[in-house]
This record gives sequence, structure tokens and C-alpha cells, in this order.
Amino acid sequence: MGMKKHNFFMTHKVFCIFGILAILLILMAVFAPVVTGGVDPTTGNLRDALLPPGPEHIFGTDKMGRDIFARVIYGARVSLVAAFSVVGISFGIGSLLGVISGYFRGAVDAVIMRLADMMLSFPGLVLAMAVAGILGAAIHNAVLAVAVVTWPKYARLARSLVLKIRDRDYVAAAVTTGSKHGYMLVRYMLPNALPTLIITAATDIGSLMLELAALSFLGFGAVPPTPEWGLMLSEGRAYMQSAPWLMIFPGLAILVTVIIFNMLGDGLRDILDPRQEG
Amino acid sequence: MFDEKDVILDARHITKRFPASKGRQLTACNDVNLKFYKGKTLGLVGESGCGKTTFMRLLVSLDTPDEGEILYRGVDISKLKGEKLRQNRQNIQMVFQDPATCFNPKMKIRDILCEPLLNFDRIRKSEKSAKARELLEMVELPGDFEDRYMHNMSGGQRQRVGIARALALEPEIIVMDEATSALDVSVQKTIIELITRLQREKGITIGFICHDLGLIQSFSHQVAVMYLGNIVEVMPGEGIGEQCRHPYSQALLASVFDIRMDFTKKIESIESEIPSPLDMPKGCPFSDRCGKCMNVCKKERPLLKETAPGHEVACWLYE
Amino acid sequence: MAMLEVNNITVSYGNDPAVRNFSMTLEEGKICSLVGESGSGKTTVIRAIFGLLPGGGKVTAGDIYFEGNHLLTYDKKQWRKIRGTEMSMIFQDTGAMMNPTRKVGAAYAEYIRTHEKISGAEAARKGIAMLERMRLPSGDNVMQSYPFQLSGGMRQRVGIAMGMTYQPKLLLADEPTSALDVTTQAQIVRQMMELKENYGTSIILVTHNLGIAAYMADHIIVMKDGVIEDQGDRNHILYHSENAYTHKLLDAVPSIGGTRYV
Repeated sequence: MGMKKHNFFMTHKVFCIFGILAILLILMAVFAPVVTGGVDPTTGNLRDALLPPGPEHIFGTDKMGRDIFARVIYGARVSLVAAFSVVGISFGIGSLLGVISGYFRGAVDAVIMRLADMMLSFPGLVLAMAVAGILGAAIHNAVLAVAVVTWPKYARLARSLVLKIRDRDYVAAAVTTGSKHGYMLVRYMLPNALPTLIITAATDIGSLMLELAALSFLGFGAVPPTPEWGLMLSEGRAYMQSAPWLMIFPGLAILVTVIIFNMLGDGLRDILDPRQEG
Repeated sequence: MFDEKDVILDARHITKRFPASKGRQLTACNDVNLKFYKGKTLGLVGESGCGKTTFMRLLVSLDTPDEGEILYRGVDISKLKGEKLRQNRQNIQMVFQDPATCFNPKMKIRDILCEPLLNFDRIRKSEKSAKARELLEMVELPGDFEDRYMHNMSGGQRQRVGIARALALEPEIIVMDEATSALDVSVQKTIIELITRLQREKGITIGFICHDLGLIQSFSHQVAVMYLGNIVEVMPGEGIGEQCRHPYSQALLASVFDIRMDFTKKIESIESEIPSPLDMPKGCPFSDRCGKCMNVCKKERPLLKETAPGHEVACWLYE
Repeated sequence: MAMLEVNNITVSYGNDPAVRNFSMTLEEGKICSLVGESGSGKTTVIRAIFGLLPGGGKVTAGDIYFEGNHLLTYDKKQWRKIRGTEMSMIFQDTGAMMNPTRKVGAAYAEYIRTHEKISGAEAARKGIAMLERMRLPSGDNVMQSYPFQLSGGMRQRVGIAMGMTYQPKLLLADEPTSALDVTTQAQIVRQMMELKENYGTSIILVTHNLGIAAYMADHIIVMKDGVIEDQGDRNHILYHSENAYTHKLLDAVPSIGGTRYV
């Protein structure tokens, strides 16, 4: 048993290393109060504004005197939850609709695909602006906007993966032996599409996180006093020369997180590589 | 020759068309009429593009005809939908051509064999292993194979599993689409022996698509010859060597290389190509290649007429 | 010395001998057929003769002489000289060998120009002339078509025409009719018989179809599991052989007028 685990690690080093890092990241976000030693990221003392990194505030303070380290750590919560939400919603809705589209074809396919085409041609930024304008800027609205323009990608991918096997003999055989639609979707179509879809989702986490940060940076996402990395970059822009630490640390945080999840996605692809399957 | 009351499946005026480029239509089946008799084998012979696979797919409801009806014990199964259609699948099953692609590579053999039975709640999940063994023994494979995956099996073994799967629901009719073409000749023989034994024991009606005239002759009770979507001749299985009447059937026969043939005869092959089913000639489909073509052949399509008991030909030469 | 002499060859893939102790001779204008089921080694033999063994296959024992030349010592340059001109090969699915994005004519002309230094137009003309000599209808239509526009039979006939352009002494045919319809098969068989009659081409035909082998071949070699089981002319194989495997094969081959199971 130990040998098997050792072999798994050796052949899938990337996945294991970055998997561990990702878990650490998540744990750090979950246990933010412990990691930050109870410091409140949303309040600060104006007397302590714009302090450079030092023993009391290891990442320094921002213009409101808030501890940047605490804001970066709590910011992980916001970013991770938001990014996972977007991926979760897009993946969930997109895959389901795509599989249904590819399996039933005909009118169902036409409707779903036209909907997907419409959404695909809609620029995410514009939609986010519109949503922010109508419902007000908030991180969950940004999540909604990005999810709405991202699900078509999963739908098209799922559909093409289903179409690839739709006309195979073994699918016809399962139909002639009396399989019901639900059974076909769950036992035949989904398992064929799932590995590729999961890999796409994993590698998307990083880029969607960036998109959300960008929206917050522009003011269509998180609003103060929420500690969100993109927002922090925006708030720190004015002090880029005089107090660069306001941007450096949230910027580094984004960079590190995106790299970890991108590499995790790569590692996952190596494991789940659909080329190795039937 | 066969008793009318033994007709178990009656395909009447079946026509199936597919849209092709530039608004044209490909007629895969053109007014096909065929009867299947209980416990007998009907061999369907034809070359590529003749529509035999399309026709078989219509019989197992993988597709619906544009015109005509398929009567199973008096019920038109081509018009069934939804749950009724699914229930009917228990009566007519299919063995596919390529044993390499007709099984889900991720499923174990017992899952493959028991899938039909679970679909219709005929067994419980706990009974899968036992039932799979039973089915494997029926096709002369070791019961232990139930725990295996398909990719370690030979072509002949896979085809046996395919037959076992088709028999799982104990259907009255089994359709086989070139089920032995991918096999070595010695393996093919064992499969044919298996099929004929099972037919004798269970009274199964078999529809067998094939391009090998020798094979068709060896185990069909009846043979139907198909050309460009039309049935041109139907005759008793043993008659295919001597009794072919339709010029196309005769041409097919003359093109066969057989170990019992007259080796001194010169090969007569029809020089021309099979026309595309998009450009079907008006009148008899074989008119532009037939050596005995007459004027009427080009204008009107001949229908199947009985020339002897159990023997029908669609040709103006025999009107 | 006969035109082709294969002396006791063993062909191995790595450490696995796929063919053992295989010998044959072939005179000019004769047809020899290698018959057998899958795994018999018949395709390995024919590819060994043509110097085209896939992935790591090597002739590890014996030798092959073609017109007195020791083929196993040939380098790439020498092979290029004789392939297409002295010795040609046609496959089961010639269509799959053709580049689907090029017109048949372009591919054929290019093939000709690898053997001769002539212009593109000249090569095209030569190609059409060859197609016509092979009795393919509407040669220039064929040249203007893409492979997918031609039927399987047509593609096969084009493949034969290409292989015969320089009237090679030896034509190796690897299951040339297996993927074809019955009536098309007859056309191809007739075409190959005419090659022998009109050009004196020798043919080695690999097939699993005993009927075709019996019809075409002067000499039949039955193979099983990499070795020769039986050989002889048609009469011997069909009527007088005492070999158990030959009997098993003959018994298993469905035949009109043969065993009926119902």
C-alpha cells in the first residue's frame, strides 16, 4: 500500500506538489483568523496609515491604516470562494446543457447552442458593468456576470465530447438493449466528457480568478471595505511610487495563487489524460 | 414454401431517404417488402451502398422509415414512441459488425451482458454474476470471463459475447450485421455452428446481412438480394447456386470466387461502377448496367413477382 | 537462378520470430499466393521481400535474392531504384495511402516525377495513358478527382495502375481485394490476371480468400503461425493434400454447394 502511494507521487509529482500547495492555500484562507493572529482586515487606525513593512505589520499598512498582511490572507477567502463559484456554476450548468444538447440533438440542441452562441459573443466586461450598474457592484454580482459568459465554453466542449461517441456502435448497442435516456446520459455520455471538462475547470480557476480581480480593480466587483486582491490593487494605484507595498503584496498573492492552480490543472491533465482511455 | 401464419416480422413498403448536399436525396431503401418467418434465417445480400444496413437499423428501431410499416405480430413497431418503443426492444435485438467497437470499453463483461436485463428489471443487481456466467456458457465461453474487460479478448470471443448480449433478453428476432466478416474463416465456422444450434434450440428468427454468397447459402433458409435500396430477388437459401433469376443476382454469382467453382471459366465482371444512390436511374435500378435491359426496364420499375414457390423476382424478363 | 528466391528466412520483431524457415521461389510470369489466417505471417513475408517491415522488424536469418541481387544488403538508395520500377506493392486500402487533400492526378504525376526527370504535364499525360491501358473509364476525370470522390474499387485500380507504371517484374499484392465488394473484387482479379498475360508480371498475392488464391495462383503456400504448413498447385491444395490444417481451412471456407448447417 505504501509502495503504491510512493509510485503515485513519483509519477505525478506536479499534481502532488501543487495539490499540497493548493490545499495549504485553502487551509490558510479557512483559518485566516489564526494565521493573522486575530487582526481585523477591515478596520484600521488612520494614525498607522501607509506604514512600510515592519515587525508590527509585516506587509505594511494601507491608506486607511489596515494591516495589509491580514487583508491579503482574508482576501484569499474572497478570491477562492468567488473563483470556485464561477467555475462551479459554469462547469455545472455548461456541462449539463452541453451533454443534453449533444445527446438529444434536434430542436433541443439548436436552442441550447443558439443560447450559448449569444452568450459567447457577449463580452464579459460589458456584462459585468451592466450587472454592476443594475444590481450594484458586489463580488457576487461579478461572479454571476462571469459565470453567464463562461458556461457556453463548457457547454460546447461537453457537446463535442458527447457527439464524438454518440454514433459509436456501443452506444447504439446500449440503446437497442433498452437503456433509458437518463441511464445513457449518466453512464455513457458523462463519463466520456467528464475528464476533459474537469481539466478545463481546474485550469480555469486561475484565469477566472484574474478576471474577477480585474473586475474588482475596475470597480465592478468587490467594494470596500472587502479585502479583495484586485480591489487592493486599485486602492494602491495612487501610492504606487510612494508606498509600493500596497500593490506588491496583493499582486504577488494573485500571481502565486494563479500559478498554483494552473500547475494543478496541468498536473491533473497528466493524470486524467483522456487519450489513455477508450 | 413457408407458412403464412409463421410470419413474425413483416416489412411493407419501407422507404428511407437521407438528405444529401445540394438539396438532393439519397434513397437508402426504396419500397422494400420482406417477410421474416419464425425460427428461420433470412440472409440479406448486397454490395456497399445497397441499403441493407439501413434496413436492419430500421428493424431494430435505431431509425424510423419515411414510408411503410414494420409489423411485428400485427403491431406497427415503426410508429412506436417513448416507453412503448423501449419495451418493444425486448423482441428484436442486434449483433453488430465490428466486435472491436460495439462494447463500452469501460464496462466489464458481466456489466455488458446484464445491462439489457437490468434495463428491463429482469434481474436484481445481486444476480448479475450468476446470470453472466449462464449467458457465457450458452455461447461456449468460460464463466470466469464475466470479470474481464473486453480488450483482452479475441475477435471470435468478442463476437460470442455480442451474441450472448443479443440473446440476454430472449428476443424472438435477432438481426446480425455482417457479424462474422471481421473473423478468420475457421473462427467464423464455429460462430455459425453456434448460431444455428441456438436457433434450433430456441426457435429464434435471424436476419443476417452478408456479402459472402457462400456463407449466406450455408445457413440461410431464405435469401434476399438487394441492389441500390431495392429488393430484386427473394429465394430459398439452398437455391442461390442454381436458381438465381435476376440479372444482378446472376452477376453477383458470376463474380464469386469459390473453391468449388469452375476454374477454367473466364471472369465475367460488370465493367461499370455501382452508381451512386443519389442518381438512381428511372425505372429498374439495374437498368443502366444490365446486359438484358429492354425498353420497358428504363421506364418502369418492376415489382417483386412470384415465379416459383418461395421465389420472387423483380424483373421485366419474368413478367 | 529464379527471378525471386527467398531462402529459409526468419523475420523477427525484437526477440519475437514472426516468421520462421520460410522459403519460396518465383519464376517470371508466375503467380504465387500466400494464404492463411490472422497471425499466419503472410503479410510479414511480403513486407520483408519489399524491405518494408514496420517497427523494428528484421530478417534475422536467411536471404532474399531478386534477379540475382541480395536484397537484404540493399541500402536506401538501392531500394529507391528498384521500388516502383522493378518491384511494386499494392495494399488492401490504397485509398488510405493517398493524401486526401491532393488530387489523384497531382499525386500520380509527382510519383512519376520521382522516377523520371520530366515535366509535370508530361507526367500527367503518362499517368492518364497508364490509367487507360488499365481500362479505367474516363482517365482524365479520375486524375481530376480527389481520393474521396472515387469508390474503393476505383482507388484500388488507380493504385494498381500506379504500381504498374514502369511495368515492374514483380508485383506484391497485400490483400488487394479484401476491402472490396464482390463485383469490384472480380474486376481487380481480372485486372491482375491481365497484368500477367500482357506484361508477364510475376505476382505474389497475400490473401485470406482461398477461392481467389485457387483461381489466380500457379502455386499456393498455406501458412500458419509463421511457418509454411502446406504448398502446391491448386489441384494439390484443393483435392490431394493430406495436411490437417489445409483440410480444416477448406472445410471452414463457406462455399456454394458446400456444407449447409440448416
